[in-house]
Amino acid sequence: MRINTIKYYIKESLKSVYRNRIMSLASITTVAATLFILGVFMALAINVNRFAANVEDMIEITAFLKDDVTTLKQQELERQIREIQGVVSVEYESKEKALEKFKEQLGENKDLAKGLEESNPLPASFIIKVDSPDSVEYVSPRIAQLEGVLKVKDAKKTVQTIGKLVKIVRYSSTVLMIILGTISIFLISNTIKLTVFARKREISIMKYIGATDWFIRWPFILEGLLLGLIGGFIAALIVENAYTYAANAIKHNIMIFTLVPPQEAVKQFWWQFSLLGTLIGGFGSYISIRRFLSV
Amino acid sequence: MIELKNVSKVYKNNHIALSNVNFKVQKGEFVFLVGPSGAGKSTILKLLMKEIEPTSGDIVVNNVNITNLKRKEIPYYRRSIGVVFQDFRLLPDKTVYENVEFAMQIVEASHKDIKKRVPQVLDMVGLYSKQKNYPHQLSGGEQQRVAIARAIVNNPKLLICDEPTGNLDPDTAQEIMSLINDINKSGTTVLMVTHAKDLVDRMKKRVIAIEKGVIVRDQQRGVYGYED
Repeated sequence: MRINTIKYYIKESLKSVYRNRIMSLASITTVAATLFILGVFMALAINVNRFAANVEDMIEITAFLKDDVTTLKQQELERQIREIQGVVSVEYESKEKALEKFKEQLGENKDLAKGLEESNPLPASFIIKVDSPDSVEYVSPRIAQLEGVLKVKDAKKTVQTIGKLVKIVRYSSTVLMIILGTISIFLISNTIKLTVFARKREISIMKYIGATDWFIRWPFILEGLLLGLIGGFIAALIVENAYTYAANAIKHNIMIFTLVPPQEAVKQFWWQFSLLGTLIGGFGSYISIRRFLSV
Repeated sequence: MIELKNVSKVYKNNHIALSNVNFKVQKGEFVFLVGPSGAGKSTILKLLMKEIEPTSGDIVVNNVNITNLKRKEIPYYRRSIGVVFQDFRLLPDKTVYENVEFAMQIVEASHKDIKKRVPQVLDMVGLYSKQKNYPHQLSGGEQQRVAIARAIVNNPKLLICDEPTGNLDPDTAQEIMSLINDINKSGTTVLMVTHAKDLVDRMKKRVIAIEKGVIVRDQQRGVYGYED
């Protein structure tokens, strides 16, 4: 293939994008929308995964006690818990200690907890360490059965809940992406179809002169690739900027929780999305060429 | 140059367009193909351009049997023939120069060759000074000259003309005919379908007449032979 020919292909495809600018814009927008949703999901998944990994490390069970548990009853409970297989240590945390901890967590905002001393709403609890993450499943329900235990909280549950949430988000965004992806492929193939129809005469003349099938096809394929590439790039640009903005906003306003830094999370998106968009575009024009360009 | 051996063509609606057609055209010849509408002239041109396949028989062009040409080989075969149509078939949004250049881009000629060859051919058809004009700014005769320039720019060995003067007034038709005659004199074989009685009679070239898919007359220095 000559440089001259490649220049011709590029020129022709650019001309075509401009001629069908409304359809081109629609195609670019749907590709961008599809990949934007993918981007949002990926950013979410990256953060949830990291969060889940952190939680997994803390193989702790917290057993909250009812307020009417006496000191005697508390000691009896502690003894019962220690007897459960897999339990390594049990630590008692009184209502007062819990409030203190809560204030610590509030940090600068500890004024919010003022006045809670009079009728402390926080329950006393046992903090139980187990020998392995798998033991949590066995130990937790046994503690919950004990009399005087209000509620048992363990990281396993949190992890499971997050896992369920991730699944829901994953399924719904996959469905949404498939729908939008199909629409973008359809729109791109429709754009290419219009180009093919607009150039029917030119194509037939090209055939008489002896143009090869691929010489005729390339400008159309390039057109599709270009639409996809632009769409993908725009999606990456939006996701990256939105994520960076969100990460900074959260960092400055909510101290206890931070997003994975943008450098780790979304810095690769621009080329990944450009590539994906290009693939979508290529597929769209391929369909159209197969159906409408019987050269 | 061209040889049709027992060529028959039956269309899908069972219309017999050609039955057992045999003829040979030597290299450098100028041949008119005449006959009433629907006689099979266009079918012969379409067969030669590999637009359609014969039902039976063999077609040899330039020592190549094109009957069983693979799909991929067709474009390369077409490059060895130039085609001129009644309706010119120029690209309206390209200039005269670009229309001719286009034919060379398609065969992936080098930039250098294009720059050298296109002005040469435009000069030959007498349109050097109008190379920046668009087709709609030209007369019918001038448009046909552009089409001829495009057909011969890649030096085809065979020039196929499908009623090239059909849309032109008699004087212009005469000019176009003598231009094609000049091209023929420089060595290109010409096969022309035409209804231009006066021109055929005046040129005194070989005439093949076809009626209802059968060759009824093949005459050196022949005449048109029909009353329009």
